[in-house]
Amino acid sequence: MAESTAPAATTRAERRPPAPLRLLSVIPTPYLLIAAPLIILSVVLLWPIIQMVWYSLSDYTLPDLARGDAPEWNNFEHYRQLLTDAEFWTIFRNTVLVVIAMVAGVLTLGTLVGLLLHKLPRWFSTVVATGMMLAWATPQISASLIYRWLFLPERGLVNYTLANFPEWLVGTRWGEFWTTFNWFLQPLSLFTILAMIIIWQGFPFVAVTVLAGLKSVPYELYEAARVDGASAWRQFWSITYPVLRPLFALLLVLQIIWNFRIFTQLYILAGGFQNRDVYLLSYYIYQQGFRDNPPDYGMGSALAVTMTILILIVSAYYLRMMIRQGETR
Amino acid sequence: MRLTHIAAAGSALVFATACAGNGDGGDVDPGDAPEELTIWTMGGATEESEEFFEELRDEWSQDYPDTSLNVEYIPWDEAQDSITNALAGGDAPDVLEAGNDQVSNWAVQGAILDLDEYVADWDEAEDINQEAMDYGSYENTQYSVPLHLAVRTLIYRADWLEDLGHDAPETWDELVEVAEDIEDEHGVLGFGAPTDFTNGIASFIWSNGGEIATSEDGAEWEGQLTDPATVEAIEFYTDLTNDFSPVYTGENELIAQADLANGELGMYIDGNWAFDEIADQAEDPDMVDNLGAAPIPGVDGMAPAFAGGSNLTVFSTADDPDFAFELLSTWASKDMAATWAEYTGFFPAYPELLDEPQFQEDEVAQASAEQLENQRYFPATPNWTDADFEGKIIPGAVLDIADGDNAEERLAEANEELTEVLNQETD
Amino acid sequence: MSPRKALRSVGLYGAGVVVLIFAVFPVYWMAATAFRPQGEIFTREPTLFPTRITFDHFDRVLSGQLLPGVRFWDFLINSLIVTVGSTAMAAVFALMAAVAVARFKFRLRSAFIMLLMLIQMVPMEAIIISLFLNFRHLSDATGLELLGNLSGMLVVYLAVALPITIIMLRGFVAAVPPELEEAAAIDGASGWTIFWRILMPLVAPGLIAASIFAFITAWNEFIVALTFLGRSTEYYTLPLSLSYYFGRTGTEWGAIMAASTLLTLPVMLFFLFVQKRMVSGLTMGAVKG
Repeated sequence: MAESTAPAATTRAERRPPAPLRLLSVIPTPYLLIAAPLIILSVVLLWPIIQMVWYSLSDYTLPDLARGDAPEWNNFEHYRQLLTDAEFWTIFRNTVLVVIAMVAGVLTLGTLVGLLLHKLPRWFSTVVATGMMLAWATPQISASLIYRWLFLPERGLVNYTLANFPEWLVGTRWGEFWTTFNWFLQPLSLFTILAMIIIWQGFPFVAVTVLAGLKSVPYELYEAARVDGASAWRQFWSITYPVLRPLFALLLVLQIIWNFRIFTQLYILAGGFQNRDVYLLSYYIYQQGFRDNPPDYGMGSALAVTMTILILIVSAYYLRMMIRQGETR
Repeated sequence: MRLTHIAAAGSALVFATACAGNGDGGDVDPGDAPEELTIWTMGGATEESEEFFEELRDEWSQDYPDTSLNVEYIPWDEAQDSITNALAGGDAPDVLEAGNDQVSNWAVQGAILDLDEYVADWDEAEDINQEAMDYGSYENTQYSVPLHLAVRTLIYRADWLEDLGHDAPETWDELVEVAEDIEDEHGVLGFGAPTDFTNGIASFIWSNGGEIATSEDGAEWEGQLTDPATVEAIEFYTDLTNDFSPVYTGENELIAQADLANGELGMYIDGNWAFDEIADQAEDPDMVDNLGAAPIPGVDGMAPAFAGGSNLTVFSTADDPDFAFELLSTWASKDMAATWAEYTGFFPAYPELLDEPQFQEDEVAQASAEQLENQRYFPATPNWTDADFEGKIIPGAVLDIADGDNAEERLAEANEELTEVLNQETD
Repeated sequence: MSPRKALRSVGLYGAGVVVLIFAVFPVYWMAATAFRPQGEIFTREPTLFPTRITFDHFDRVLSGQLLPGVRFWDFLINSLIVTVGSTAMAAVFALMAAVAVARFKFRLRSAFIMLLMLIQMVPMEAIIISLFLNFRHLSDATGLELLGNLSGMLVVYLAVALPITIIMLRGFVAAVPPELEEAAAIDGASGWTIFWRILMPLVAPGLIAASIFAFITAWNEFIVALTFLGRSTEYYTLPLSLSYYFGRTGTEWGAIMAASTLLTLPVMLFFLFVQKRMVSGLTMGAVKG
């Protein structure tokens, strides 16, 4: 990956056996040094992860919590319910489809823009990259509110613009339709906007990463290809892609992980959630744990375990890569 | 509306002296009273409600000068989340106002206390509307005390209707006719039919002879959304949405309230308590003088309305249930209930008070009083909250139908879900 | 330049402009809404440019006129407490742990690093229920109120920041040549002197970058704040306050966008500051900025 941008994480020094040092004189033992993080992480994050698995196998609801009753083993009941629950499978399918669409969108646009930045003169490339930073830096909650506002029925800029297409082009019913069209009520239109937000916020990172990668591809390779008369398309697939393959793999994994987790944007876009068809897995977990009547911690945890396993499978690849690079040594 | 409150304050005073039942305290020793008691009341704060709570504080401090009352307003659409959060250990009230159709749900969840013994010792309880009292109990245990009755009516721009030469519509046909005329004349929405509005939609269903769900024994429920009468009523309703207020698809009645306040809407269904909120939202608060109220139009005459209302409960985490009930019974006492109803535009749960002039004189109050004669309840099961507030089964289906789904198919799906949810086990 | 080449170049610039507009327009629209007069916002005929600039919306948000008793400053202070607090603590603890991991060989070293990586992989959105219950039970067990105020959140943000900060810092500490420290030691420098004079200056850039990641993550965090704070509006952080404004006022888009702008500004400044390191930090850490 990017030669200049990675901090010293992968330098030689790290792999050298640690030398005994003078620093030792002030710090008695490494265990003391890692004690605080170890305790905090164990209590705050590791323990809940273990608890999550236990809850997912138990009957545990808000009334139980309020009464002070302990979770009660229920012999995989939640998982059995999930397997046969049509609602769960719809949400699961939607989540997978939406994540695929978002990942494909972010990677495609990001790569294209990365290639474009590479071709543009330096000054203009910097201008575009700085503009992209704005999209990237916008907090998720702000981004969600901006899009909700842009796509508001009747008064949002997008509906207004669509509704005011010239009549000779689009016919008479068009304007009326778009004026009142509410994007946030049905899954397809809502997920379209959701994907748009994700792509808008996600592509700059991919573009900048790809750009950094492109700079590391030896220029001579392209020279040679050009002499052979290879088209730009061919150059991409026979030179750029093979060289940047590990980078793309990493980007793919990260995008999948991030997009599975999307919550805030959906929370804002879908507002009151009258239709469960607009739930995604991460929202479904929240709904089960905090909004359901009464909240069902057991079922919510079963969903959470499902999501965690999915993400761990995807990130196993990432982890393996890290281990190979010696990050864990 | 505002003017009537002055009269109301006067009449409340009369009651206070006449009933004289207050302040007897009973079993609790004021010396043990806690420093603070928290009340959660539903809806937004208005001048009138603020005024009421000042009076309640005065009344309360006569017996318990050392206990301050902390009043928090919970918007209706946040009620569910707030109570859930309170039960999960967040901020919690001592005395909670809850929608009468949600009492059994909170009882099952252990959020509110069994009030049987307290109510038995409380004399005024027998003067309360017994039907409302029953609706506030669950499995023969009294978990709540009715605070007020709330019935919705048709609220309309009386000035516009008069100009157009219309009386308030009484039937569905007239409703459509008047709405069309308003649209033609004023270029605004004729009738507001939001899809997230079970309380209003129910009137259309009942009026057409349809049902939401029925039960023979009160335990086993059967969804009735596929009943042709119900389907027809919902199709009529979604036609109203599409013809007169397409932007209300997916919205609740609050958006209609705001539009009416600002001259963007001709008619919608809401209770007379909404008048204060309309005045608060209007650029010109005097516009409420142009409003009229009438019973909800039905197929051929007044439609039944949901017998809404609020009950008072004691929250299960209350540190001092005795004092919490003491506060509850002060608020729900005859004199205070009359003041509350008067100030907020609701109706007291004491039948004898309904004959009082302030609940009869006003034209708006009269419409509600008339509508009170024709009321219906939602399925009396704790699962109703799950089906409606949380599951949004009917609003979800109505939304999709307004959006173009086939009514019969979509309602068949909704009906299956409704039957399942209403019959799910409660512990 | 051949016509073909010229055309190509126009195409490239054109594409660049399109990308630029796509990236910047929503941010522009936020600012344009925040700065334009009320009458031009919630209208059926929106215009692309404000006719004049006004600070009314910022004023209403900042002074608390928008919602009675709800003051933006309080939210800002809450946000600063949790973000600065968690970031600072994470920096101290992570630096110590990074030294341990980079400079010592000990039995649990690999296990510790694996733990960091694993914990980082588990999404907050998935464990939110057990996280909440964990703090509920901790509150009950200790008698401390960890929910409904900033304390529990601060600890969670600290825990979330630790793995990425340690992993990032480890590289920086390891890159400091041990010879330097040995040389200093021979010159008679004490352990502390070596730490402050030799290690710190070389590790500082990494520490700053890692801290900025942690800061931005905490600054934007939503779901933990949402579930931990519940109805305790007095402890709301900025992202939660935006959602609150949106839920309670509905159509006050001028004010919502003004608050949104205020939330976004610090993040943008930090982004420009760490632009270079952003990519490496993200690919290493799987933490989203």
